[in-house]
Amino acid sequence: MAQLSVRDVTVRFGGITALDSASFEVEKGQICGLIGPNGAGKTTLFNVVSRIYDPTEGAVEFEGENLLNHQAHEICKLGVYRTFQNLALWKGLTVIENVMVGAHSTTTAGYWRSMFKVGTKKEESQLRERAYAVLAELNLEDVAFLPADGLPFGTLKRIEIARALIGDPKLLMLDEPASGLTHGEVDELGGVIRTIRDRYNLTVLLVEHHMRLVMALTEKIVVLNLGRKIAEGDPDTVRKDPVVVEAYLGSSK
Amino acid sequence: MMFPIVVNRGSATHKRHMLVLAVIVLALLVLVAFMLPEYQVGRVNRLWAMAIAIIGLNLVLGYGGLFALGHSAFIGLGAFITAWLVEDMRFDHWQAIPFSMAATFAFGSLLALPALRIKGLYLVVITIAVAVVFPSLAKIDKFGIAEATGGANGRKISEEVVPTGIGKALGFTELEAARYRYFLILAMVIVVVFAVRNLLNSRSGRAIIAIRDNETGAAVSGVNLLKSKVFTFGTSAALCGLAGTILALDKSFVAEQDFLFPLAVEMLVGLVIGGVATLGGAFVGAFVIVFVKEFSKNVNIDLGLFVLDGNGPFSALIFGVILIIVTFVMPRGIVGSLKPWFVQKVYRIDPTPPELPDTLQRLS
Ligand SMILES: Nc1ncnc2c1ncn2[C@@H]1O[C@H](COP(=O)(O)OP(=O)(O)OP(=O)(O)O)[C@@H](O)[C@H]1O
Ligand SMILES: [Mg+2]
Repeated sequence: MAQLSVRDVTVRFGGITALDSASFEVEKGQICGLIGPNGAGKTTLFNVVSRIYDPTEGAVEFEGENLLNHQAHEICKLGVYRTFQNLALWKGLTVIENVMVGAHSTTTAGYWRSMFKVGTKKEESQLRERAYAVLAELNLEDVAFLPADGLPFGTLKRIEIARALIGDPKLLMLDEPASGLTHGEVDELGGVIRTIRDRYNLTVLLVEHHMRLVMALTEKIVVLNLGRKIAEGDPDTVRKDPVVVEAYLGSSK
Repeated sequence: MMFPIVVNRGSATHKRHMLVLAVIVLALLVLVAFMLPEYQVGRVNRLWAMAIAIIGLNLVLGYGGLFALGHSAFIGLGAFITAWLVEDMRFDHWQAIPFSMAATFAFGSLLALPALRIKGLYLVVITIAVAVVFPSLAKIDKFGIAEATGGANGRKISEEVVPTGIGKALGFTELEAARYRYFLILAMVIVVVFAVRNLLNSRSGRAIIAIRDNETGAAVSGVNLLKSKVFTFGTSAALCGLAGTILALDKSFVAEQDFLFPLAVEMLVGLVIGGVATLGGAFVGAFVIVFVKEFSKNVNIDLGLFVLDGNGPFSALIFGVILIIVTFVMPRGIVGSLKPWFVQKVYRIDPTPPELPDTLQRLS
């Protein structure tokens, strides 16, 4: 059985149909690309899976669990983490603190214990060490103690990856991780994503406009256009699919 | 000695400096209590109470990013509950604290529930409404409310808090009751400061700040927004409840006119002048609203045509001008604006990075 299955998901905002009965599956361990022209509904789909939006219709299952029965903050307990197209970091916290919050659901210190430091010291220092190590893995330890504000966009996108990784994800959803990166950085990112997948045993769902990266990295691609799935398959098949070519050319007219 | 002094967090030097600082601060605080005349000590006690209340407001507004503006009601509730417990239920004075805090916590949490749906200006309006209605509710002559609160005339707490046991043994006389209370209140202030500081530097506190800065990011990281906001609101209210208890027991008197909406505005002024989202700012802010307002009444400048008299019709004007000047010169509040300078030129604590594991494999 597929690890993630999206079935007939429809999302309407007033008159706009952002997703129109979209269905697809992602196998465990796969790097799956989710592509499509601007406004195709890719981010909307992420928001449905992470329970920020309620779909008008449809079902989303992860490892047999109906995600629609869960609230947004419970999704990460199941092992689903994501990054954001336009960043969702906390600028009032330092970089390392941002990453530490990423492990919120795997740590336990509650309000009262925290106030009086009852048995929280060990967890806190271990959490700190872990966050610093994850940052170092991504070569980010130099910015660890800076505010997560005013750093270059590419660095912030990487910090979001670190924040997701520390939660020990099974499925990692990346929303345009290559935006704002230089050519060299894009290639490096491709390596990073592949290594993360292998090392952490991840499934990756990748939304990206950078076609070279998507083609090089993914094992499967799902193509959305105007909320509908118009193609699905391995990179070579999808690349040559006339419907896909038409959708992309059509949208750039 | 070279400035700035730089220490590493958690190092032996850092710990030594903190110890020295704590000793100096405590010594100064003891000195203040014995230098000031008894009636001024009473004012400092009010300062402590207001500082605790402003810390409470800061928790919701500064750290939680929720625009609540009705905290005078929580202070009032804490004060009335205290008066009622001590007078009618024959509680020993300070025994009222847990009950006053629990009741205000519950009341604050209840208010948080609508606050989850309504945001921004609507939340401001709702909380203002609570603060405006509260004094009238406290006067209602039904259900025994007016008897408990004293209604429009207020209520005296018949037995003042005077030195007993240890206090007496330490040499406090009944004539120095305010000075005796100063030390009890100071102990509570210290507990509050450490508890809130610990909270802010913990998993739960980071979650509160994360919700302020980006709710969606917090939710997908596993933060239960409902729980966190209810807790933040409740704790904020409970701190105001504690402040209310302190005010009631220090003055041995509670009256609805002391908890009108302008008190909530004063707290906001104190918070902004001291520095939003700073802990020290609460004390500076409390000092401003308790003392600077008094000082400005002593202003007496002869301008030739007329005298600028702090006690006359211009008293509010002088205080207002002081506030305007401070906000212009220090837009992030006194503590918030001085801190970067202090860190750069005087004293800095550098983070101590944790050890990296030997097995670390970089991803690129
Ligand atoms: N909260 C919302 N309210 C109203 N409309 C929305 C909302 N979110 C998305 N939409 C609309 O839904 C459609 C799909 O948007 P979505 O952000 O999912 O596209 P996308 O595929 O991620 O595009 P891009 O590549 O530009 O990021 C767009 O028409 C968008 O305007
Ligand atoms: Mg998008």
